Amino acid sequence: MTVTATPAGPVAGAGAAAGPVTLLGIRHHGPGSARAVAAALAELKPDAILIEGPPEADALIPMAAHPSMRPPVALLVYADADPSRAGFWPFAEFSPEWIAMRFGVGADIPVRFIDLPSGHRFADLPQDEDAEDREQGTASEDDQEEQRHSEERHALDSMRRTDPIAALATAAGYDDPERWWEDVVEQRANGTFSALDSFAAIAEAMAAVRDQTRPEDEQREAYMRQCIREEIKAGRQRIAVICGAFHVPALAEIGPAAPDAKILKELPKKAKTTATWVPWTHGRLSFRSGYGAGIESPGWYHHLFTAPDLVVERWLARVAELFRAEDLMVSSAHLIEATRLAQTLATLRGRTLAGLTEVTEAVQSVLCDGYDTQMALVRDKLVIGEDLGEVPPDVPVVPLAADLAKEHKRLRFGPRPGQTEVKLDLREPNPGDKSRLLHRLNILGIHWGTLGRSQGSGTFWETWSLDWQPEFAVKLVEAAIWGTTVATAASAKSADRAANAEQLAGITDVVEACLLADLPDALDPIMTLLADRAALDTDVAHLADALPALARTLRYGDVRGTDTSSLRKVADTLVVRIALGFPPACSGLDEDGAQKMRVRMDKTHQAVGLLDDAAAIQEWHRALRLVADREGMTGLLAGRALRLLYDADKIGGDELNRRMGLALTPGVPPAEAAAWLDGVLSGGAMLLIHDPVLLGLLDRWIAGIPADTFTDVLPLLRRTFSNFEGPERRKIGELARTVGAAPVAGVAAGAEPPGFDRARGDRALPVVRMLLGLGTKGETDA
Amino acid sequence: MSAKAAATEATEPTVLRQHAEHAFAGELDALRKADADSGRPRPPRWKLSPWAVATYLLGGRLQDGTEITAKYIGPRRIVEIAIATLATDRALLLVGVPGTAKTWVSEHLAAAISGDSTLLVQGTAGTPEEAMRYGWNYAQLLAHGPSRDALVPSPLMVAMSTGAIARIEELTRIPADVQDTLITILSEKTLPIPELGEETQAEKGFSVIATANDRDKGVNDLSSALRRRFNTVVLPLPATAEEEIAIVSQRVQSLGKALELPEVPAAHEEIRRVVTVFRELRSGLTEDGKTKLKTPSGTLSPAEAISVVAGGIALAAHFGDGTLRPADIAAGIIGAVVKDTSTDKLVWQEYLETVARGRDGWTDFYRSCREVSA
Ligand SMILES: Nc1ncnc2c1ncn2[C@@H]1O[C@H](COP(=O)(O)OP(=O)(O)O)[C@@H](O)[C@H]1O
Ligand SMILES: [Mg+2]
Repeated sequence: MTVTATPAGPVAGAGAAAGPVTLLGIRHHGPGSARAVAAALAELKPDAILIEGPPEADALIPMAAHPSMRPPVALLVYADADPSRAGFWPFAEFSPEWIAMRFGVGADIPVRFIDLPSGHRFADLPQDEDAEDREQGTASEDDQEEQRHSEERHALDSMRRTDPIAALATAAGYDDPERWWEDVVEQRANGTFSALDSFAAIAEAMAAVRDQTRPEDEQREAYMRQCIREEIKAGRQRIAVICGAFHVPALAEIGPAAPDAKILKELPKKAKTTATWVPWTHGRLSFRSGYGAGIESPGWYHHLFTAPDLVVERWLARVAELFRAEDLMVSSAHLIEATRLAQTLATLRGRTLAGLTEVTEAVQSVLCDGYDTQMALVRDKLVIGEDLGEVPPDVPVVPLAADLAKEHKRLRFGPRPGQTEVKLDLREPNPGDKSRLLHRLNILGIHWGTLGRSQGSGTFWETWSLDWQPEFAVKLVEAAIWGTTVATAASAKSADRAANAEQLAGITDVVEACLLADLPDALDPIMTLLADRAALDTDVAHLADALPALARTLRYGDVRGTDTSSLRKVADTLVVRIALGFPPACSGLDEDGAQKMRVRMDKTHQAVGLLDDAAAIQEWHRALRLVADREGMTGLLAGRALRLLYDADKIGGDELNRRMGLALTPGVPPAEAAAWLDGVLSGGAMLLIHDPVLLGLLDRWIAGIPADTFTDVLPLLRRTFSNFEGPERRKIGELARTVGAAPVAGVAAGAEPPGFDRARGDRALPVVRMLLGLGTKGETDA
Repeated sequence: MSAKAAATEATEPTVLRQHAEHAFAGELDALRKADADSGRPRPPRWKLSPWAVATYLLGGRLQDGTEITAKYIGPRRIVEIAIATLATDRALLLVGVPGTAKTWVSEHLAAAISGDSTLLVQGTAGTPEEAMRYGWNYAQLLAHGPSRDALVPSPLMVAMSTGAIARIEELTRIPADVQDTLITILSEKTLPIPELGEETQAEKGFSVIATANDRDKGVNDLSSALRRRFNTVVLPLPATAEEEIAIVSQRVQSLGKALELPEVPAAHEEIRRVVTVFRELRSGLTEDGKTKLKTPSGTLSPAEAISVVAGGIALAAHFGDGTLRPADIAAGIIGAVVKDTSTDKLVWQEYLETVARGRDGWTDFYRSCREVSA
């Protein structure tokens, strides 16, 4: 029995023995389906093949048979007006659609895609897949229980829609749908049954599984039926339709054309699109795509598709090979036991064939001493089996992508599967160019390489971690609006970013990026822009935020030998203006504002240091002194400025002590004093550890805070101290224990200063201990 | 549980702790019947089908309505791998930190498969070779010379000749040369008796379940030759607080019955508390994931949680007001966390002051703990 359809009415009752249409309902990326499609096509000898897929890519189908096309690959269709609206239809070697395409091209018969054109979906709203993912990602965190339940329900529902064959397998107690297929579908297909018959059985089952459809399903299926009608009209005798099993019931009844035409007429007008082939990876097969949900175990599926027999044994042999390459001992006896365990586990679970779960559990229990440490290796290398496909050089691409391909070739520096590291010596021509290429691609939003933390200043070495993502194909198309080569596109995009930067810091970031990417053409106009904008900007915060990138550029940018004299001029004036504007900006701030300003102060301080220009440093120190000295400054910032000056050796220890004494006197409100203290002490406890006098001052101050304000000050103090490292806190604690004995403000060790109230001091000690993280219990007389 | 099952379990009330095959005789009977009714195949000499063994360990309801209690609460696949291993007559090694039910699972597996959980070798540094092989009755030996009558078989030897499961506890504590004896037995499936020029051959159904402590690593690490004879299953700590609470509640309940403690209400809240404290300290992180904590030296296993709660219930029943209160568990918890070392003390103090203190509904607990520590 084969499922057939006639132009009028359902299969049953139509009377005709066999119409021209044979529906092959498949599981996307299912190796079992792929085998069955191959067998069914050989049996049927169709004169036309219709495949679920984007019609925009019809012209690309013949390339599937190109000798240098190697899956995994994907069809990419994007909207010309906005390439970020794009869809992928990935194919692995074991994809039934791939098998069908190659069969059709090989047999020299018409092959076409019959899914709804993507142009309709790109017309207005963003893609629905994205919307769906967002929906799932933002579910509220309340009611976790409820959410889990509804998620499970949702998962089952959506499985029936997106992977109905997996849903059938689940219902039959199989967690590996492909093993269920082999067990149930192929066993029946064996001998007397043909592959065509197994598709008929699937079609029958689908009629029961399919209960809900969505509007978009109806639109897509209306289009599919229209395509089938066209082929029937064209007089084809044996039309093979390869589509997701879910759609089979809807295509079995072709029915009259008018309702379908009406549905299609209501669709938004098609956007103009372009299609191409792009390389894909096994890892990416697990993502949602034009073929719905992805698969988790492409490597295993590849194995199921290619292993001629003894699936479990051959898989375990590959695991053994993998482990042996890692110097782990695996004997044949091991493999025999693992095979037996996998098989017995399957039997215990009522499954005829062991699936990936059973095989994995057997590997862990027999070969890995029960631990899962090596299982990640099996997962990466075998279960996913990272693999990057290839497309022929003559697939249509945007000029930018063609230029990148040329660069890959010229530098012998192309994408590779998985993550790799490279170390580049910028003085050498080839590595230097590689570095330029990576920096330029980063500007274009193609983050193929991530630059490692630099190994010290002025180094000629860069370390990159490389990870090519198939989606870069889309990014390249998106970036194509900027230019036709990587260099010109990066320059144009930089100029645009600089021109549209809202704040000065945005421009200096671009300057830094341009220098790293060696884009001198872009740099000149951006420098002019920078100078103009810097002169006009009066907000000291903006100026300060712009400085660090500039300082880094001046310090490290010269590895490419770019002339940076005009940049230095900009930086110098920037420092002068920051120094003038900083002190007034440090008063009258609320806590939040003060914290932000503190970060800014630290960063500016560091940047000025990098500039290594005596005049600039002097200007900056003058500004810091003003902040530290002047009345009415926000406590945190005054304290911070003092500390920076102290660290820069601009004020001495005695002076610091004096100031601390002043700031921590009873006259100053304790909350303000605590904020000041935070500014002085944050960023390292060495100060307190090495200066017992300071510690003594602090100790006395804390003891003297009146009870009613103490609770207000406590959180502030706690924050200050919690920023210290554990060992630092411990050290301070140890010192605090002896602080009474330390020479506080000239008082001899052991002696108590006049008016010292020991009982009162003791009362404060537990709190000090707590602040220092020493716990509360302890000998009070220590 | 069916009336019949309950009746069987009520017949032997006097021993302090019954062997699993007696304590759960009713359930095992019901499972045997369920097997017979559905014609499930059994491996040679197994008393139950693999399916029934799995149901016995994981719990469930049979067609005749008999409720099978869950013995092991945890991932189903662990139990399935263990049973499948024994069904392929491979030896099974259960490893894990102390208190993760290794012994418990081993006992129940043996009871369900062979109907006998007593063929047991307790591994220690002093375990002699005779415990693995056989010894002699010297009176007999001297009087009549070496003969089968004078030979005293080890539990392992008995298991071989009867096709049953033998258990070895704490395998890694056994001296390496004694461990080697086991290699021959597991690989050759025979035990030579050179004194008699004979050998004992293992009957079908014979296998070994050994347990070993993860933390013992390096004490007497298993030789790779011995390791290779085993399929290994790692018993994990409970994955979620709910799972751990279920383990503790269930075990406490059945322990309470065995010790004839009066029913103590409101235990749930305190069980949750004990489990929370244990999990937080074990993972070094508070439940809300916001505060990092130091971890104590002990394992804080579910088994210890069970004994803290059981101890608390005894206190509440005999000295308290019959309801489990924070005060009843405080000492137990501290005892479990603070093992001798001074660092544990600090860990506990920090936990008490920074986490327990001020937590909603923990005021009484905090106070009780302060009182105990003081
Ligand atoms: N996952 C669990 N399910 C059921 N009981 C458990 C579990 N984990 C621990 N237990 C209980 O803990 C107690 C001690 O377990 P035990 O087998 O002695 O631990 P081990 O041998 O691993 O040190 C037993 O009473 C057991 O019931
Ligand atoms: Mg034990």
